Amino acid sequence: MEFLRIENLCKFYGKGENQVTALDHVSLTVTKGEFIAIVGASGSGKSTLLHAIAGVDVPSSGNIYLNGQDVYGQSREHLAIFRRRQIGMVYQFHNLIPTLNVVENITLPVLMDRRKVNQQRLNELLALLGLEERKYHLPNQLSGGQQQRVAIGRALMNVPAVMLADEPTGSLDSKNSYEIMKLLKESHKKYQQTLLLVTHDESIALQADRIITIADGKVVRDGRVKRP
Amino acid sequence: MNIFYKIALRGMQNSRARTMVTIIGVALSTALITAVITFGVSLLNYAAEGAAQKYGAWQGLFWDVDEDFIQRQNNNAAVAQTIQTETVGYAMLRGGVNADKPYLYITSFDEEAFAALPISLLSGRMPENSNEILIASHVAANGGVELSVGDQLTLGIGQRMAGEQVLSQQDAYAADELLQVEQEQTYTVVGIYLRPSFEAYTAPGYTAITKTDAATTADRFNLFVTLHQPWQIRSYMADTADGYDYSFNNKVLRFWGLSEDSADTIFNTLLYAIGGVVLAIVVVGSVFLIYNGFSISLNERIQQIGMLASVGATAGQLRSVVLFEGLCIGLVGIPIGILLGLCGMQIVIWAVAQRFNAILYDGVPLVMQISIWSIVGTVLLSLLTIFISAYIPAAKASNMPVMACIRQSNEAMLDPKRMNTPKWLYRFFGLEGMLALKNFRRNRKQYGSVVLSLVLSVVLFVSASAFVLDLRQTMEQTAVATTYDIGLGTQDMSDAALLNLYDSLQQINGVYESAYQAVVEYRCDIPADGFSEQAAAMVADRDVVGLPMEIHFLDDAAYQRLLAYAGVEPTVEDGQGMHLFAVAKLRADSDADTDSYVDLFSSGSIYADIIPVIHGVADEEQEQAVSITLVELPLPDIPPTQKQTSYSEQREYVFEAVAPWSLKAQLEQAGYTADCRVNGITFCSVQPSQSVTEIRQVITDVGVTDQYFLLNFAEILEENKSYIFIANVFAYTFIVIISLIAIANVFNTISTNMRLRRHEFAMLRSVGMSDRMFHRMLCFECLFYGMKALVWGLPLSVLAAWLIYSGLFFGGADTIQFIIPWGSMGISVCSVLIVIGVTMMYSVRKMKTENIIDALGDALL
Repeated sequence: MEFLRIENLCKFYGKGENQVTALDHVSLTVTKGEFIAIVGASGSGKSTLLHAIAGVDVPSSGNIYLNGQDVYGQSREHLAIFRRRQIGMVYQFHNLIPTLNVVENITLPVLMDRRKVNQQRLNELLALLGLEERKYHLPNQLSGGQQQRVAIGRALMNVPAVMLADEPTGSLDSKNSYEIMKLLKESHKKYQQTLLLVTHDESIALQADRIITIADGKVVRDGRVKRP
Repeated sequence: MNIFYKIALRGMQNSRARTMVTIIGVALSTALITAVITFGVSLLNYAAEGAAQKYGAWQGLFWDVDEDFIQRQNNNAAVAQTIQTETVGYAMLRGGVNADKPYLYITSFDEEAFAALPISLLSGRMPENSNEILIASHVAANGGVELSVGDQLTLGIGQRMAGEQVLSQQDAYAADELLQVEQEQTYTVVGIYLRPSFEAYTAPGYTAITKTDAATTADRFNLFVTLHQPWQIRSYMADTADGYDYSFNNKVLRFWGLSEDSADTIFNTLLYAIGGVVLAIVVVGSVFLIYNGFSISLNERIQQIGMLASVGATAGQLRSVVLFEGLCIGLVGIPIGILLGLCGMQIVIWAVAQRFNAILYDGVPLVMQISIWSIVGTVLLSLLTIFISAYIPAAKASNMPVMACIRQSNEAMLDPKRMNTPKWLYRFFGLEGMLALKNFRRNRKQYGSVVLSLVLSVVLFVSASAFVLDLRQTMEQTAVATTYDIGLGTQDMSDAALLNLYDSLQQINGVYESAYQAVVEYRCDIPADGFSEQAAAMVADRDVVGLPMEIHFLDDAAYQRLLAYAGVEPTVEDGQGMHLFAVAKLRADSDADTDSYVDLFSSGSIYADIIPVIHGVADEEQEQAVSITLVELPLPDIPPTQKQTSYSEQREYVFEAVAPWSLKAQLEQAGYTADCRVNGITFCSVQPSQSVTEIRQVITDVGVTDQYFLLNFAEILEENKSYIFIANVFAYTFIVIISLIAIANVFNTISTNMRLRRHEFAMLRSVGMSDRMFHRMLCFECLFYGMKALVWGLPLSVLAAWLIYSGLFFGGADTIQFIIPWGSMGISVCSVLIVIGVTMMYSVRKMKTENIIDALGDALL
């Protein structure tokens, strides 16, 4: 069942002679619950694609439909709410709010909605992320791996339909990388979430159902991972 | 160009907004310092020139010198101008009551001296030959001898001797001195003038001035000296005096800070203290502004320095980068600032010059005086501040590891306890309120300067406004509010002469209303049972109480107008003889701050006897029975006079009657003339100054010989208004300057901080914070900063206002009330919130439309 559709997506930076094409007429479809790895060389446009899907980087042309809804066809207010409720985004450099502690950072999307925090869900997440002992710490009191886990927690808290992870293990050691991937996959399975993950790491890419390779802003290969 | 200079230039080009803000900060600070110094210098110059016009431009005065000495002074290259007057000598002042001042000191002026030494004529005219003389008005006021224009004085004139020594005006009177009379001379008094400024308070003789003519043969002179360099006057006088006495023109010298008069020491201290405080505030504010402009981008600069250091830049090279950047900013900012300051001041001076001319020194223009030294000082101060501000990041960075500079990891760790916020905050104000408080706590240090700037401006704004309010109160209380514009008062003029003069003055231009009146002294004998209960103490055990009273005789038209104004029927015929209307009130509580009065008499009318006071004594033979109706009406203002009744002002009651002029003749039928406090004419005019000139001309033409006082009250009122205006100009210029500093500081700090928080804002938006929530969060932040500034600023400003009030109160203005300046406090509250709010909104406007990923870029790439 088609869940995410991208049509002729283009993204240009700069103007005139200095114009750089980050995405060049990218079109693809994703079904619900799929786990996709996006790979490619540095500067190939994979992060730009992910950011466009997340609703944080406005494309120059083309459309993105999520569950039939045109992502950039909505007002700024609705786009913000869309990001809060539908998308769970994990950045390579965590992007945590330095003044909020672990619990507040994780529950941020819920607090923004002025909804009551589901304590059971929060405790489950904290247990899953191994952050129970650190729930009142500020980001600057956490290690890189712990900060990334908080970022994942924040992305998972609302049980979003789509999880987007931009090199989530890029700045982590192998042990932490393994833990993070385990978390993402568990959540993906448990909540039937669609997971799009940008990575340079072949072993991580091979854990996905489908690998899309991007080069010079174009999709050059799109294939299913064959498992023995 | 050196690569480091290139880097510095490109850095400035790239961060154009930051560079602009810093340049604006430098320009504004320089402008403020330039403006304040220029205004101060211009004002002092104006005051000195005005004083020179009023008291003469001379700086030093040698007493009783001979012609050789004058010749030597005239040949001295340091001397710009000399004026000489001749010493005629001393004569006893017959009837003088001041034991320390028993003489008339007679001096003779030639045309040149009259032109150079201003004389304020109160009545009469200038002397035209050596037989005519001007008498100073304090001969009457201080010496107790009343001389009038037209009086003939025959004086035995000579020298004061102490043994063999001839004494001058600088030698105070000593009991053992002798007056050696050398000649006898008869003078005609042709004018009364104000005490001259060169007569010391300790001088033994009242200065009388005659005119030098061919008959004058003096061998001693007073020499008034003006130097090219005024500040040399003290040493010059001391070095060249050659044993002669000398004195200084302190009224002029005080504006150069050269007066050593004890009264002027206070004046100088006050002047320099106020000037110093204003300058210090402006300098500190400006230094703060420049420093802030640089320090706000400290992290950015440290990062740049770290990057340069990582590729091998030495400490010296790094210093050169920052100093070069400072120099560039100074080269652009300082000239703009000086130009701005001078232009701004020129505009202010244009705006206030006319008002300045209206007070004190008519004919002396207030012009902008540019002091080269103050501009050089301003440039050096600004450059120094820029260099220190630019140098601090370099010094800070040199103590940090290179990678720490690049990563900015030396930033202070956040304290988790400080980041805890109360639960109710989230409940009432949502996530936005909670985030705002956390941000407020985190950015305490960065925003310290915002809060400090605002506190400073609030305190200065409120206290300057309070100062103006207090000043206005003082002015209003000292203001001579009269029902007329011009008053002509005499004592000796006969009624016929007064009425004759009144007729002659009917055609004066600008006058739309005139009246004549006389205030005559009587005693009123009232039966004890007529007094009210409150006045029981005044009655004591007497059957009849004699109260001094004044009767105001008004011309019939003015009398009718007054009664009509008070709503009183003018004629009361009761067959009991003469009838008067009177105001009779007793002060209710002498200890109370405000005056409240109760009735002096128990009923609305009394029958009493009035007895005229003739030569200070009530003449009971002239007693007349009258009926007095007690009314409430505003007593008419009397024409100007120096004569006070013995009981006026201090007494605890008011008892004054009004009567039509026709009644005066009726009362005086018996042929006596009661003591007159004043009689005269009052005018209302649309052009008081011009009318006064014309009135003076008519008085001269008619040939009035009686002593008179002609006063332009409208001018005095105008003077008071002008003082308030000038105080307002000062206070509000000051307020504008301080507010500009504060706004620049607030704008600079907040906008730069907002840009530095771009990344954090993008993070919030990337996880779904909407524009509305974002605005709410920033509004809360504004509120927190504003509240903090106000929590400190408002109490401090009330304290400052109270201190100013106390200063004025103990300084002599003890009738003013302390008023909490609610109005200016309200304006402060609104302004603070608006300034912060507008700045924040301006800063985030650009960010709002920005791509989240561009803002997050630094971390993602």
